[in-house]
Amino acid sequence: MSKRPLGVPFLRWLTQDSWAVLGAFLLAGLVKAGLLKTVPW
Amino acid sequence: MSPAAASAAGVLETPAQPFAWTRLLPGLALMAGVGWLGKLAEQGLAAFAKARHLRLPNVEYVLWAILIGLVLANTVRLPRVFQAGIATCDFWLKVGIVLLGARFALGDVLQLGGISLALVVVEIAGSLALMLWLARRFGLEPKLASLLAVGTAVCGVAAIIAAQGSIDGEDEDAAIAIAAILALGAVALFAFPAIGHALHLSDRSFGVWSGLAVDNTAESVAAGAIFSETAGKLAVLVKSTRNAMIGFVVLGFALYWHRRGQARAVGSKTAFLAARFPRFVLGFLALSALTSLHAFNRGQALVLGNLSRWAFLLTFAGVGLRTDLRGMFKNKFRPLVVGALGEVLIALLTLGLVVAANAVWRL
Repeated sequence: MSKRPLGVPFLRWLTQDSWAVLGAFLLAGLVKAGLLKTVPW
Repeated sequence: MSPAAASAAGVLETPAQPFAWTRLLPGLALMAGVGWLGKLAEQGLAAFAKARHLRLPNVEYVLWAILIGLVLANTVRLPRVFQAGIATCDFWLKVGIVLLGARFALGDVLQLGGISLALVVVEIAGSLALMLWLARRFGLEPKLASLLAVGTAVCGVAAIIAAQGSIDGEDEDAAIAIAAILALGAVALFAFPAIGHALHLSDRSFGVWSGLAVDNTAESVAAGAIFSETAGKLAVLVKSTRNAMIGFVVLGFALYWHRRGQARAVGSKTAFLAARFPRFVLGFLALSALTSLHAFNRGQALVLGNLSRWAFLLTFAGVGLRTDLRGMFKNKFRPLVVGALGEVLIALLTLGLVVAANAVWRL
């Protein structure tokens, strides 16, 4: 039995063939980490 | 994706070349420039009207960006160097949709998603029945009829490409169906907001209608956003619900054609559905859930919302830039007629659904 957390295959499936989801989550991570504080509109 | 279908969708232009990020830059810069001009045009017109005390209608940056892109692409012959970047239009659309999740509370998503799901199921059943009947009346090839029906019922180009692979459809049929869907989507982009204003639909009603009736996701979101920002958000939600059904509809057609001995066996149905489920819909839900769990504060959610707007701005500029008005009606005549007739009837059917839903649930 694999001891990998269940989230790992799910995350791999979620981002597989989907650079857009990966890119959006990366941006969300940057915002959460405080590295992207303001984006004017 | 087959080369013919991909080429018709405008997503593959230079085969067998090593991928280089730099190839994307000219097209990306052009989309950013067109989008920026759209924003300037909206602000400029508003400032002009205010300075002259004129009552001019507010023309959203979305419409400006699409129009500027359309004019550029159809008057100046854009060099091929721009094509790879413009083809990232759908990537930015998905980024925008996922990030927009941060502007939705999960409770609202689930409540509106539940209503959307009920409407989408009726819309898909009605659209499939209507399109298959029309295609038979006009004597279209059965597999072309299947592709057109999937394209109009679910989500345009992505659904046609997914269905073509699953029912062993001809490249030419997929290219015809995609061209018809894109042509009709471009017409809907301008017709829907005009009809919505003429009927005095509310922002929310129009957003739901646009999400239900306009086929390609980019055009559906753009039509909503041309009407208003709220309508654009609702269009994203309803269209994403529609996109989530792609696997089920394609599976139905794959099983049907396999039973007739004209397509491969499906194998594991769960794996089939998982492979075709649009990940960006889950990404949208995940970000909405994270925001509802206070993973982001108000300021951060606002930043994510603004990032989503920039991603949509690139998308809308790309929608204009990739629309080839001259090539649009060079398509075979009968599939286009079937598609156009079907679209009008589906628009009426979904408008009736929206009016009924508004009476029952107060959209």
